[in-house]
Amino acid sequence: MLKDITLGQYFPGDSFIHRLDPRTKILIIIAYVVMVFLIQNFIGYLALALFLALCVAVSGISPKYLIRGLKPILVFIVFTGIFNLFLTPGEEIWRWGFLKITVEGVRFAAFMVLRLIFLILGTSLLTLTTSPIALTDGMERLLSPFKKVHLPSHEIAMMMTIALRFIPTLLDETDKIMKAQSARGASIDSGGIFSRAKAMVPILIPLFISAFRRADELATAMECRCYRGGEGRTRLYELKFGAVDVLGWIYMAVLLAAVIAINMIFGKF
Amino acid sequence: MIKLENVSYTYMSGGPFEKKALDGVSLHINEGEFIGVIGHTGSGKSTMIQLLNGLLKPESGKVIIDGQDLSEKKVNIRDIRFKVGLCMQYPEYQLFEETVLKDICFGPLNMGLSQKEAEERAKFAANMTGLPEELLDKSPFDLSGGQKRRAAIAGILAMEPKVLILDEPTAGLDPAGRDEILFKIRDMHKRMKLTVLLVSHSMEDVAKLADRILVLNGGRVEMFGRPREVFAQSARLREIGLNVPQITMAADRLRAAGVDIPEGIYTVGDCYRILLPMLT
Ligand SMILES: Nc1ncnc2c1ncn2[C@@H]1O[C@H](COP(=O)(O)OP(=O)(O)OP(=O)(O)O)[C@@H](O)[C@H]1O
Ligand SMILES: [Mg+2]
Repeated sequence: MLKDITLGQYFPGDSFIHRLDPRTKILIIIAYVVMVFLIQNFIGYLALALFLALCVAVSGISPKYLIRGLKPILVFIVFTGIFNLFLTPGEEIWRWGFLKITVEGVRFAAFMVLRLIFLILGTSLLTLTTSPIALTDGMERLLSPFKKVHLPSHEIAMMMTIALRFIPTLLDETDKIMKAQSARGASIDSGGIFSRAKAMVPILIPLFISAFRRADELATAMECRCYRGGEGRTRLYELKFGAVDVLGWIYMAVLLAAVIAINMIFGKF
Repeated sequence: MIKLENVSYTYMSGGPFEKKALDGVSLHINEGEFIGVIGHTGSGKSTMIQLLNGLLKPESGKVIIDGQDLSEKKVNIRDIRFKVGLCMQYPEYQLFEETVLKDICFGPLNMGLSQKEAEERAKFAANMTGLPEELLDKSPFDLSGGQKRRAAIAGILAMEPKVLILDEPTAGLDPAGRDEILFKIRDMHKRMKLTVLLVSHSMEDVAKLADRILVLNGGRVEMFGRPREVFAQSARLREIGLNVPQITMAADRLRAAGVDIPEGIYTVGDCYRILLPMLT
């Protein structure tokens, strides 16, 4: 299961999307997330799906790989759907004992599920096409105007870089620890809830200890190389907007306009 | 005892970083044999041994332990793991209990042994790996690196497996500690008919201990034979990033310089026995 997590992984390439400036991509993803919540009807989601499909096609990332990223949160999606389906009050269309499904429930459940799926797919596409370094560089630059109000944008970006950098490492580590304990007969995926929770102890303790140790070592290593925070630091690659970015903005603006128009024309479904 | 039939394994299959770690490996290991496994880093040693106790499932091919095909549904994989004790590479991170003794007991208790029996086995295993008694009540996190390694190995030994697999057990240990552990393992192998697979980067250790040597290269079996046969192919070994024991090199040089010394010398003891009469 650990192998299925695609969030935070980077898929190197040279597509149109890869070449976009990370700042452009971050702004686009913000607009995209806003749209996911703004959309009021299914036609809007259709438009969004088309947009996403086009992005995926251009990016050269296999759709199968992207969709596999949904697997780890499938349970979560299903639960959200079921809860909304049964627990939304409104006009009843089906009833069995205390379980009832309402028109509003169906609509709401479908919306929530779609929103979750769109959020995951969109953000996965961002991290798959943008290296963590570029991503946090972009984030730092976008936040830098807020330095005036004492927002530590460099530190925030550094923290994010480190966090992203360590996701795969920690996953690897978890995998190794799970294997080592299974080799000693720990049964991790069987038994009731209580015994399963207990079975997590031999995995979590070593994991935490190694995470703390790593943090400590990293801090020492950074200090040894005279890291002192962002003040006066120059960078290896300067970010520059190019022609592709203009195209990206236009694309996004058109989509935003389309979504708003669809909302106004078709109204709430 | 252990049989691999055309086994392949690929990491991150289908992803962008797909990596074929094993490619059509077939081999047969008899009961009671001591096998040394060598290969360049990334040659698939750790992958291969993880297949042997079902931690990894082969992508194709069969893994057969004691006549049982691991891919069959009716095989209880936990029983296989108690039978095939695997000590992973850098096993220190598996320690988690409050005391060293409790940690070593983890495996035996999972087997369903009583507390008393488990502790007896734990103490025995700790002694085997050279862990002093007074450390057993300490927290495993207060041990030194080498002591942690010993505790981790003891955690596997305490399960008294029929097959013992050690992935570079001595990496990072001091020379005396290394020899101590290896010879205790050889001792157990001799006395209890334990089948041992020892993964090592030290040609000397493998030459001294193994009945047969398995050489992996790029996920394939490059050679599998007696030390004498394997180390006779020094040119090929060097080509794939390995080497022969230093003493073999020295003997080869002496022979090239005209000293009458036979081929197939791979331990200091052999060399000593042949050179000593010449010198006196
Ligand atoms: N968890 C993993 N995910 C992806 N690839 C892996 C993983 N583990 C190993 N590999 C790859 O599989 C190949 C074989 O690795 P393996 O760990 O079996 O090598 P090894 O012979 O044990 O090396 P070493 O001597 O360094 O321990 C390597 O190329 C490695 O990069
Ligand atoms: Mg290895």
